[in-house]
Amino acid sequence: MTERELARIVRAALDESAERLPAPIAHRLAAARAAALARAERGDRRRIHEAPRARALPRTERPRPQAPRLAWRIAAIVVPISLVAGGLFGISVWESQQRAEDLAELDAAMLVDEVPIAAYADRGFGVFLRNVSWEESRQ
Amino acid sequence: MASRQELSDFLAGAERRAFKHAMFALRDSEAALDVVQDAMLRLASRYGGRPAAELPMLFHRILQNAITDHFRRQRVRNLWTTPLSELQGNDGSEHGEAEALEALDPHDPDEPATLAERTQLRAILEAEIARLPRRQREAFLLRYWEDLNVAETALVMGCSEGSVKTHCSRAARALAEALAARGIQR
Repeated sequence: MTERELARIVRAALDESAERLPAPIAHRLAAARAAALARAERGDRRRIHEAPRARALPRTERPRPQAPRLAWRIAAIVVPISLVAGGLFGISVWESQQRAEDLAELDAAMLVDEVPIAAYADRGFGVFLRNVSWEESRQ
Repeated sequence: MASRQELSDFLAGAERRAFKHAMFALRDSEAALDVVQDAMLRLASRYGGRPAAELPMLFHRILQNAITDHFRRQRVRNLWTTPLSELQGNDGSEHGEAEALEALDPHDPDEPATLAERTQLRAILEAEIARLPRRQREAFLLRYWEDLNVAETALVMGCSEGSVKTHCSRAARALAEALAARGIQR
């Protein structure tokens, strides 16, 4: 069976099937068609009323019904994304600042301490620190 | 520019076939009716003033977009409803889908043998067409049922002409094999 022969059989079958749609569906399709034609009629009337007024205006001042809707749609997407991105960037800057300050504070404390820095690498000193509280060691 | 009468005649001739297209894609008569109505409204309100010769291509482009929109909405809806429906258990919807197309074909048991045979062939063909992948089915139906040429079909489907030919050829092969497997060879 060639593609054309198959297409002929399918076309005949589908045409017959489309003609035999149940009556309620055919009625609803007819109603949908009537609604579509009524809308086209309303659109025609509106175009007839609006066209002379629009043509009287300079090109830049003619009404552009789609433009504001599109602008709002774009704004509705861009603004929240910008807010979230800005927030995340702010949090990351604040965190890195905080980490730098913590490290600086730690470095300063170690440098001004009476205990030499090499002592912190000593395992015995680590054990000593765990067993003796900070206050006791200061005394 | 299409007159009101030309637009009306076009819609009257296309609405039933459009419904079948939508049914093949959606397998739900209510959703198919909604999609066809939506497509007709969009065509009439936005493109009613275009030349009558352009209407078939425009209408099918709008119809395919409306079907795609329906699938998108359904996917979003399913994100929320699927977990809930899984809790409530499966109601055998797969079986229901398979029967949906058959339900559209009123069967008269008193028909003569030849008519019964044709009805059976029609039901088999519709079931096999419904089983085709979406793009193959669209290409095949637009080319051979709607009589659009390759370029028009490619424009409606938003793909290359080569893709249309490939889809058509694969769909035809799949249908021919399915019919042969059921012992139908003409």
